[in-house]
Amino acid sequence: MILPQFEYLVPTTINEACNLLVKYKGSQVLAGGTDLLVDMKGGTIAPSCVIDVKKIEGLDRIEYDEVNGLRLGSLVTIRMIETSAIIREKYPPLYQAARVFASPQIRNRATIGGNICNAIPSADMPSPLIAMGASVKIMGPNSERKVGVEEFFTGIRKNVLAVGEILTGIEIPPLPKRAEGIYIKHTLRRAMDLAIVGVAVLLERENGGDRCKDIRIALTSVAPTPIRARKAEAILRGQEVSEETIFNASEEAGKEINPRRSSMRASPEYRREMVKVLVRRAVLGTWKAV
Amino acid sequence: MRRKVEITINGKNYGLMVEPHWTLLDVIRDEVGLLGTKKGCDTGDCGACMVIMDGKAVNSCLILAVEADGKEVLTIEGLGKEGRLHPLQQAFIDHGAIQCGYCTPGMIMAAKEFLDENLHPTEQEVKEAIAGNICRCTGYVKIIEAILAAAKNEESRSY
Amino acid sequence: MDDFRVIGKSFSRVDALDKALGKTVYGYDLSLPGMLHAKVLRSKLPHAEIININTKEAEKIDGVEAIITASDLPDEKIGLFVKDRGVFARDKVRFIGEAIAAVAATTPEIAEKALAAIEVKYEELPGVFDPREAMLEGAPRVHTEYFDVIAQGPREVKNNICATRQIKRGNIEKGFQEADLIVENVYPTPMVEHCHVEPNAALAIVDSSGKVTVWSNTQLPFFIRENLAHAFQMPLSKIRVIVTPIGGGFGGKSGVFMCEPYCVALALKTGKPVKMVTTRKEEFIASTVRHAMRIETKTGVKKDGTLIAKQVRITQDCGAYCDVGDFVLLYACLFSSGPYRIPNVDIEGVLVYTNKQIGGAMRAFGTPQVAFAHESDMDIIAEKLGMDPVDLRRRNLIEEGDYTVTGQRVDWSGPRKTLDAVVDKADGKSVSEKSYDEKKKRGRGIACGQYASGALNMVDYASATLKMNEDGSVNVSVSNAELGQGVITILSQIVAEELGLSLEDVFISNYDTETTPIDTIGANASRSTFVCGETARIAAEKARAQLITQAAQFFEANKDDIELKDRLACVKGSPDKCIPIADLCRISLIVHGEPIVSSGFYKTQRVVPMDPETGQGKPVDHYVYGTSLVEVEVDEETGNIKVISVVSAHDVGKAINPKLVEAQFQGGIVMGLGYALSEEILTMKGETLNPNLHDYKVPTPLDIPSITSVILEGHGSEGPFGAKGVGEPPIIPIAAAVANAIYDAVKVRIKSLPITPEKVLMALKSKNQKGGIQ
Repeated sequence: MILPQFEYLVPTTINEACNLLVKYKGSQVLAGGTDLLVDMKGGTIAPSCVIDVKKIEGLDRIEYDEVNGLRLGSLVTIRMIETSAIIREKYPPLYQAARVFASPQIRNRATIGGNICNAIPSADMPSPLIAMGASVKIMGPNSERKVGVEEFFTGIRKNVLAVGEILTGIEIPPLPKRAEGIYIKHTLRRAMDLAIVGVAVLLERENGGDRCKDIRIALTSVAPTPIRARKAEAILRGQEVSEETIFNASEEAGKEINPRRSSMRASPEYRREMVKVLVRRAVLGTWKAV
Repeated sequence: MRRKVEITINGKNYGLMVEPHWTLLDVIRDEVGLLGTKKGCDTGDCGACMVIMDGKAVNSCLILAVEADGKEVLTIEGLGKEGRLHPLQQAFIDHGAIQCGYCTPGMIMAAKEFLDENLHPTEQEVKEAIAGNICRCTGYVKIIEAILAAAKNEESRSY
Repeated sequence: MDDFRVIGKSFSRVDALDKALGKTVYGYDLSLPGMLHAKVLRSKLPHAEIININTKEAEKIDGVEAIITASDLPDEKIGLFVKDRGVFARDKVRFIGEAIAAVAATTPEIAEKALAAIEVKYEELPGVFDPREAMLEGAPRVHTEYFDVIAQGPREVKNNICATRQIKRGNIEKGFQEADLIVENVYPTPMVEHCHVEPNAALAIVDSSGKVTVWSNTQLPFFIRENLAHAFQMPLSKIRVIVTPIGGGFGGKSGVFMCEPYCVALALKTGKPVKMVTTRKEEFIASTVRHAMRIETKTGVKKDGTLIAKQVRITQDCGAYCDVGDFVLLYACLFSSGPYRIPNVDIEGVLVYTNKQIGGAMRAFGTPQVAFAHESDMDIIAEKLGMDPVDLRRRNLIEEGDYTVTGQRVDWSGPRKTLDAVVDKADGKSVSEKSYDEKKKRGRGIACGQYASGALNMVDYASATLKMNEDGSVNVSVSNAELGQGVITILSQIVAEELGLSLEDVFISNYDTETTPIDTIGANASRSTFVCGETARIAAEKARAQLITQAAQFFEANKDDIELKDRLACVKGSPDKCIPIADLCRISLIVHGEPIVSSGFYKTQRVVPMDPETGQGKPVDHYVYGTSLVEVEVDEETGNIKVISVVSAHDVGKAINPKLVEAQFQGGIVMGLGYALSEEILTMKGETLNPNLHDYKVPTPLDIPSITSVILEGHGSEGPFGAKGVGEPPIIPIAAAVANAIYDAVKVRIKSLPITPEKVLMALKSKNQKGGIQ
């Protein structure tokens, strides 16, 4: 459990950080460190160089306005999300995901950017972000691009970042007026645990009607990356919502997943069952609340 | 290559030459010589190493010493003042919240940060606050009682 | 009413202040100037011949001071009752994690780097991981022989069977013939880890005469001394083991010597102090674990619920080496039929070597495993007979005057007393109250347990010395390790009570094999309060007699008229005739030249070892009993289990310190809940898949229920003031009570541990498909 040796660099601007990432092949970005240091101690990665981005100004801000929605710097900690009144009020699924994230002390260090970039299938932040239509801002040495959170992940511990690119922020558009969201995390222990299954739902109700205008269902820990349950969404989108349609949608969601066979936490069969139950509960809960 | 860091620990400023791959935990224990902060797992899963850094309770095994440059760190040795125990320490003693005692410093530091911000906590909130601290001896019951008792103690507010 | 002044009171622990301040120096915290750091190279294969170990490259690394392997040490085996392993693997490795080489270097980092530079050439052998497969003809052989300490000779190992045990009473065939109902079940239980928060640690020095001193956070120092002496072929007198404060043990610091031999070997080689601490991963893969067992039961019962026959077959997964496996098997067999009156009993247990981590001591040696089986059986039977589970137990619980499975006469109706206490406490609490979600069902389950205070089937002894100082304070030497259970506080209370002193007048010396008197098995077997406490009390009683003699002389009074209390020796009924005990000590020493010193020795009195064929005998000095009632809420759609409450009653004889007793209840109950619901070491071909505290799930503060403890006094032991040990019993009934509560809630019976939401949900689904009760 001893950290391997590495070079430690502390850029103060994004551009400097990007250039360092290009210059030092095999380097790793250090944000909160709550995953990185564990992986390094366990020997799964041994970067020659660790680039601490915490001295870069302005990446730890939470900004909100009604037109553009929420903008989070990538260094915003999970604790900041948990304790932000505006997030709690305007983006409940994100607040709920922060509340069930590891322990309060890990939340004091872990950042939203780090949780996204590590691209671990059980990470809590991505699903609610996907459900709420969030995108990430990526900056490279001479480039800047925006990618939907949904498109960000390419596999277990894999993402779209090219060498030299850094995730600098997250943007969540304002949620529709008649929308309600939720994140449900299913774990064995009630704290310090990774999701067996996580379900995030954002549901928009048609104005004055019994139809679901739009819905996004995002799932954690059921595939190599967080995924949308698109077929389930399609069953509900534009349709009248009843116990039956919700049931059908949740059954469909159960079919859309691709869980790992070899997981210690649960069998694929159990994960499938949990997706069905939790999607149903999440949709029902948001529908009743909206 | 070693680099110089300045860390204020329990109000005292330490100029230290540290390797980048040394954790704050190892530096507190091995370089500064404060052994009250414990190592139980070294992966952030047990909470024995908790300290308060710039007002936030953190797992010092998951922080590089170089990251703590310029920070203020409080360890169990820095609790209490003028020779008196912090009300949490006293409550832990009085309520039998200590058995082997190895989790105690981390547990108290987690509880301290929590009480600093929560004057009237519920039992559930106390459980959530120490959810990252494993205790294998007590079953947590007396620890929770102790923290609730300390919360009621007016003195907790003057720290 | 008792007239006690110190015992029976909930004093704060004497070591609490230092611990609250972070000042306690644990084994993990020790250091000496110039000390080297040791690390152990561990096998990556579960079963392999070692062809070659090349340490040349590692030796070249700057800062590496010594590297040792089996070839540097005498070819001697170590172990407790069975000596079957070397300090290092010699010729072959038998599990992933077995020590192959050790490095001493100037920093832990360099030591780790050196480990990576050691080359080991293996020739892999087929491994065996399931004890039932290991017993088959032609299975890979983990061992071919070992040295039997009791018999003092080698013993051949056939079919990987390390040890067997049997208990036979009555006529089992006849019993089943007379039964109206026969129920058969199989209960597999997993390996679990102690998870004491402080890892194992030791520091060793060697002086110029070759004398070795080892500081260790061990629960079992005399055995460490004996094994070190054996391994290094040194006299016992030249090895000194000093016990440090211990950050939790639960048996995890009782067995396999994780650090001590390596520190000693490297200190001998380098002449420098050598320290070693283990990592959390090593705790999971290379230290001992609670044995996995497979328990097959067959129970015969009459229509009216009378138990008439019980057959039990226990297959215990030993792991690669025996450690205390044979002792655990003894406990498991002895307690496997439960605290019940059963005329016909046939119990057989077998301990089988496999290529996995070593099973060892863990809180209540083998008993939580078998209690899960016998108490699940009871509820299954109750349902089949249409009886209330409590009534079925009341009908069969062993009572005063009955005989146990080994033919030992029972001296009080403890099981029923604990059952009644729990039922009394729990009554009036409704379980039928609707929870907010109709998909969540509540249920209650009860389970009883039995255990022994003091080591089983052997004479358990301890000794103490005591000296009184001129100021009336007292130093007591008793060999017992403080690992969090509070033994120092308990011993202080006992001595203070006996001598009429205050708690703070008593100082208990640190456990040190050179200076504290001889002892058997250290902080284990719920013996500390009972055996060590009685030993200390006897020493204090003798000192008390000396003080009374001095006081009688001083007041020219009759000895019978002297009483000691509140630090005074007084003539009864004459309030003016009092002298401080401190003055008596001074007078005794200075005027009469008679220091007040004493010694105590106690050994358990009742044990008659069991017959190896029939198991008949009196293996238990003092039985202790307990009952737990658990209430759960089960989510029928997810299988999630929330434990709402636990009520436990345990027979403690006399609570020397009720607060510390309650703490043992609470800690044991929560450890039991982890065993019931979430803890399991997962392995695949001998490799541990979850060797960390994230994937191995001990309960967190958010997982605990409301806990009510009923401390049942009244039936005293021969121990100090009637006290019995209570460190282990609270864990025993919990898993079964949880299983029974889950059944009560959702009518599915889970017969393996841990009872995960997945198991519950899958069982519910299969029940619903079958459309009936399974």
